Amino acid sequence: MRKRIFHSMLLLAVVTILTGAILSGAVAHAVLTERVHAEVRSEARIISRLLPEGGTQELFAEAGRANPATRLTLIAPDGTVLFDSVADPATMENHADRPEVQLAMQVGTGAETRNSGTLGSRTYYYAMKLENGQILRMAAASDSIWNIFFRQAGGLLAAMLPVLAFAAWLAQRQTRGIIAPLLTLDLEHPKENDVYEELSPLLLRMDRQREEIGRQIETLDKKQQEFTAITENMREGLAVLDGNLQVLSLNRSAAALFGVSADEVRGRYFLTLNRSEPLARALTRAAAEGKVGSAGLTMAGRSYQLVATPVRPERGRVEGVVLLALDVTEQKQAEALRREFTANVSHELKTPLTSISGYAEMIENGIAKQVDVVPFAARIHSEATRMIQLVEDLLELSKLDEREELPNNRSVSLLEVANRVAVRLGELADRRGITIEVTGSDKTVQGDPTLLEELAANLCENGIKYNREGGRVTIALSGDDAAPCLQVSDTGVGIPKEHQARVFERFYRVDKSRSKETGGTGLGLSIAKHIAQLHRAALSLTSEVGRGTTITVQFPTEQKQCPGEDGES
Amino acid sequence: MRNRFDEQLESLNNSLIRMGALCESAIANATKALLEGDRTLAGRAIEADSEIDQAEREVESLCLKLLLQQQPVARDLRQISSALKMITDMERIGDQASDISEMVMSVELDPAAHAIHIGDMARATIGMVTDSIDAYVRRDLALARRVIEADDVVDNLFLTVKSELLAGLKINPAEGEAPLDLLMIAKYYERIGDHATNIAEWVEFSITGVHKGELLG
Repeated sequence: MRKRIFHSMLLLAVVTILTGAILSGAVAHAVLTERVHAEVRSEARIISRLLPEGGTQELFAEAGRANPATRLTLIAPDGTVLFDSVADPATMENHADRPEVQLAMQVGTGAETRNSGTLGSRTYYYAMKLENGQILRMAAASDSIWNIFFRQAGGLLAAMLPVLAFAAWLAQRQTRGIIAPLLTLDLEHPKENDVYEELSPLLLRMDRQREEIGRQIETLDKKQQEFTAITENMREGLAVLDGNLQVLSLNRSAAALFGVSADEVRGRYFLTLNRSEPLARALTRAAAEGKVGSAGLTMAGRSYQLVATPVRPERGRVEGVVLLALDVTEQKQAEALRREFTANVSHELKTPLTSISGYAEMIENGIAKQVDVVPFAARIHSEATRMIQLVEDLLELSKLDEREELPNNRSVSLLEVANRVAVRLGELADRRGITIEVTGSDKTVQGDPTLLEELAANLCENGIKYNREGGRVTIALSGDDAAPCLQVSDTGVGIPKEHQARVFERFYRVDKSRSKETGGTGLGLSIAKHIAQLHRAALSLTSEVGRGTTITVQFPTEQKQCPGEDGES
Repeated sequence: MRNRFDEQLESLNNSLIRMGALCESAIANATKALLEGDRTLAGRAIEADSEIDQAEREVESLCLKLLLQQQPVARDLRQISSALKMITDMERIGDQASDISEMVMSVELDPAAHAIHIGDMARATIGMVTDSIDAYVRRDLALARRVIEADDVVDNLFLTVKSELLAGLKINPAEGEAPLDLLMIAKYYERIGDHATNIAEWVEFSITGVHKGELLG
């Protein structure tokens, strides 16, 4: 900028100086020429006056010497040069054809300006007809306008130098004057600057742009915050990688999953976080082939399903990979439970069917003796009964599974339930020499009487089956009316600690060899648990091997009985 | 803006980690095949061998390209030259995992394998391989030194397995092929342990410039 200002200033100065020089030169030239001409003319007149008739060569010579600047020529009327103050007249050609001479012959005087041989000077000729018919011609050289310029050139150059320096200094000053306010502009508040008015449109535009940018940043910030809020708070791990599988960002879950801090690993190759083979394969597949890859991964006892999706705008090359880690531990466990359940059901159904088919085959083939037929039939019957019981239990369970609300919800007296169970199971207990007693005062709960009886019966049946000879099963009602509690305790074999957590699972048996002998289906406690859940009651178990087992059904307090609450046991 | 050299170095690093991961999974599959008699896993370990060879060639050419075109010095040179050495060991680990798998495929070994300490040996070896690659990934000098020390554990386990097999042969000389195969497999594990130690030593070199207590370069 400074250079340009300097240049234009210099140009201005040079143009001004040159124009001045040309004008003054022209004027000086005009004045000078005019004066030379006037001198020549007056000199010619003086000489003509002084010249005596006929004139003498000496006089001319005298006059020529007196003023060497003027050339004096005397020409005869026929044009022959009679005298010349510079050259020898004998060598000179006839001058009759010279325009000034011709003019003088015709009108008395004549003038003519001709360029002489050398450039830069012009010669003025003035001719005058003398009384004797001879022509007197005077000539004087005057500087041409160029000559005047050349003479000025030195001075002009000398004048240029200070002008140059001055222009440079001025340019610098001006530039600083223009730039200084720009440098000190407060760009945050463009409108509040106090600067020369030419800057105002710029500042206004800056202000508008600043506002625009501010708005855009705000929008972006908001979007970023929304995105961060979503990714940071989601339970799934999310990792964004670039095309070379270098980490761009990790959300909180992903950082926790891979045991790193999100800031620390930014820009690191993802396989340095975890290089398990299926994951590496899924990621390379996504990055190199642009296809979705997925992998299972087990970390810290939990199972994860990882999905690597390529980020690929417009079918171009893959620009990044998004990795999503889903915790599938529960699904896996549920799946395992389902598989186990199916296996158990088929096994439980197969066992009685095998013996039924075996006995029936023996009877069919006549292998069985006549006396054995009846006991065999009895075995077939008992196995079939067992199967029916099993199927009934399964149906009951699946019904309970589907049910979310009690089919018949009303006030039920726990004492009534306990007494009915004691009567129902009295025969079974008697057979094993076990006494059932009911203790405690009556409590009322909200629920389905049939299901509650089923619950108590299932608990009691277990108490009877896994008891010793002459043992006792106690159904105790305790707690206050607000939080009633039903407890079934026995004096039986007890459940070892390691099995206690699992006895409520379907088909789970502490002692697998005893199942046949006691005749249970392995579903009793599971059904009891479901019924308790439907009543939002908590089922808990304490047991000591060889001393007996106590199972407590803690009904919820009335206040707590809000809908939707899950009475997990 | 990173320059091309840094990019190539990074890519070398990544390829090496990827190759390490392949070795880890190959030996893990071979071991699982041995202890659980799962032949599909053994097949996978054998397949992985050619993939590892391929990875070795890639890393090798990348190393040579870097050495020739960039003429690295000091730390970069150490990293590249140690990479060049490490891939040889990794490739050998892949070979041995494949050899173990081939034996598992031909003979039923898993009942006999459970009777001796070969499972412990396998686990110790896998641990060494994982640690040596971890040491490379994290530039963890302490971990690399632990791997070097752990080699003695594997060597001792090899002696244990050997004497167990010998005792078994004395009781039942007609047992046949299985003890011999198991001995060879144990030897393979012992070799894998040695290769893991080598990797750890090269990791140490790339960090400190000292290889087996000797200042190189």
